[in-house]
Amino acid sequence: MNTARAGSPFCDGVSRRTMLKAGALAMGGLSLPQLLAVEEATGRKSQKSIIMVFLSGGPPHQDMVDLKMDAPVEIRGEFKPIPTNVPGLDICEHLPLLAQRMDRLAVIRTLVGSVGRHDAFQCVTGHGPLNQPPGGWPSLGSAVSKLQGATESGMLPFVGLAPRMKNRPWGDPGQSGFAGQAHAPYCPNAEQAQFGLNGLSLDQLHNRKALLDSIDRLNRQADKSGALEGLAKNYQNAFGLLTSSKLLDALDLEQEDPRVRDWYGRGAQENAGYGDAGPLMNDYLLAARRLVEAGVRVVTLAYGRWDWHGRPHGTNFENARDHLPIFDQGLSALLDDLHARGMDKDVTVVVWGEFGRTPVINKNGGRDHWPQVGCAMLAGGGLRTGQVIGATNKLGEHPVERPVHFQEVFATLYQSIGIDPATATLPDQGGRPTYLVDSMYSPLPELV
Amino acid sequence: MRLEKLLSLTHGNAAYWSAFSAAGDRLATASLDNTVKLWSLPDGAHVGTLKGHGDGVCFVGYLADGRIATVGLDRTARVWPAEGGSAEITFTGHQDYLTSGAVQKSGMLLASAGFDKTVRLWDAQSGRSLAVLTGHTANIQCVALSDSGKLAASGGDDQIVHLWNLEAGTLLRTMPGHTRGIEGVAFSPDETRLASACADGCLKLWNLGGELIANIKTDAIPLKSVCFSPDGRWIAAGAADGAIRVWDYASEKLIATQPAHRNTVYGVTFSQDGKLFASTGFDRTIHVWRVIAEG
Repeated sequence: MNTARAGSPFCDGVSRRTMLKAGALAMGGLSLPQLLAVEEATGRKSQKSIIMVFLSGGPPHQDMVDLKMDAPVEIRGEFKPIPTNVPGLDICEHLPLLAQRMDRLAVIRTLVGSVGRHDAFQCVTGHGPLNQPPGGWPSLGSAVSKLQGATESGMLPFVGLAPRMKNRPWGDPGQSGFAGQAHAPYCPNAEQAQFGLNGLSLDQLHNRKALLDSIDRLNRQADKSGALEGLAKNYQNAFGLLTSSKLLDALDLEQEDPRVRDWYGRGAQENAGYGDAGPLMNDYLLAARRLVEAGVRVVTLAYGRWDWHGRPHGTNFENARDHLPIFDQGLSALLDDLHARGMDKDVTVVVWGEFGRTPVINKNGGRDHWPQVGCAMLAGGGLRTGQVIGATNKLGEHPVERPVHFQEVFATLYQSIGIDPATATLPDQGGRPTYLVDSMYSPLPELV
Repeated sequence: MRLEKLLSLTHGNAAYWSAFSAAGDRLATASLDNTVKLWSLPDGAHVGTLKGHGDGVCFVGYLADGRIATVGLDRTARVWPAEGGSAEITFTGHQDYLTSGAVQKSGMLLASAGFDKTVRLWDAQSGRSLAVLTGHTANIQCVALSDSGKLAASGGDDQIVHLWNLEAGTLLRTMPGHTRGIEGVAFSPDETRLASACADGCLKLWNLGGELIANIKTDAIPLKSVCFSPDGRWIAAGAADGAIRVWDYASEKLIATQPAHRNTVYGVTFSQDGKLFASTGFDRTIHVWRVIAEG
């Protein structure tokens, strides 16, 4: 199976070919060849990376990592807690594999600051959608792409694995915002496109490249300074993005040992729910590992449908019994895989949704939206795992200890990938240097 | 009696209901993935998919002429050709999610019910709406039709079984007594009894005069679905614990508890010759079982 379902343009509809057109690659002022030149000049080859698993719809914190067994029956729910390998930390009985690996996870039980919108925006940018700076907030992946570029020629810094889905805001892999469209994610699972080439065959591409090379040779003959030599090399790298097999290889799970896919759990290709949300697709978790291993800096994916309002679409608990075991298998395999490959210190994994769910179970056996508090899980990246951060009250309604804002998680993620959120800025569309995280938020001291 | 698993089939999302064709050579399965899949039996080959509902499909049944009736959460009921393709008839009128449906095995009646608290009757031959039955005070979760087409029964979150006279289009009587929502109802083949399965784990048997004949308590909370075998010998129920339970109708004795699914059993049904049984689960699977009558 190739997770690059028929390939695709970039998620904002801009194809790589468009970006390459005439060599005029507007990348926030830098062309792609220029950017690659900067990469080469700095010699930076960081392998730090982030995998963000977005649980589309808002996972029920109180049925996963913050069970309230002392709450009344209309709140408590159907599940029982089980102990984990971290003393004192219990989680849901339907997450037994993760329970054995909680020393490799940090659980945030008090995620606050949700704007309450049913979309991935806040999870992928750290900000709400209102009052955005000119150009709009860049998502994590786009900001990292802009600040750090690609790890090597032929590799893209930011990949979004979400397929197109009916509820498109759930499939938002992360907008480029004022980082510029050149830093939009590459979305191999978007529909109706071919990988990068937008219908152009490799032969055709090489013909165009040959033409460009001819023009370049003329230019070089005219320009005796040698400046164009470096530019030509970076055009080579730009073409490498299209023609390198490394990214495609990473996406082609047919190249993976079938036993590894079985270990992850494979999952369903169909979009979860009623076609409106991310598929419950453990292959995407495996693809994410392959991508970061190949050199992608940030991978986002929408996983499952967690918006469980109840019948007739199944109760919250029926849906949880459906999703949690698959999620348990997939995330556990990812953690083990990263650990076994020695990547767990470099790759940060964050798992969360846009909000939590109501403490009170509604008349249809569901839980509704609850922006007051939610949960998140982080792993890897050299973070101090094996701990719980924050506590909610006995009904799971609100934090009573250590509320953690979305932006604190973002500050932690930026730091984990080597970007100091206190100093790093990007120019917004008006040219004003803009911090990626509000200055009042810092990386979580408990974790870094 | 025991069940021996023959086949396991899957959908992309929860499987809500299934129906055997009259000859027992096809199984139609309805799913929350918005589709109905058609399977040949006994090999279990996937032979078609009915696409068109805009939300999950909660019911599928074979009409007497071999066509297929469906009820969707999208507030529509539809009639499809036996071999698949596009819907020939789409019934509209419901004002909220639908949860359940039923067909008259020997006729062309189709019933649908849901969150608008109504049971609607449709003529699958003419495509006409026949009746809108009102009286429930909360979401309806289940509906059944008698083979003669004279009666319908429904249950739901108001915890009261409603028995309807279809010839008059009126409420015949109500049967209170359940303590939680009613999730399944079924008529006995001889149309003398009614079974109701409740979220409190109780299976109640009633005569059509409204008298409670039996109250069978189980540890399966909630019960989700119920059906009679075609010969009236057994009653089967599906539950949230993933098991199928079978009782001997005459003795009211539990004779089989068959672990079947990893999630709630949404639908249970026998083939018309009683030799096969199908269960549908929220675990996305449909199991087809051989019915082995022992003793």
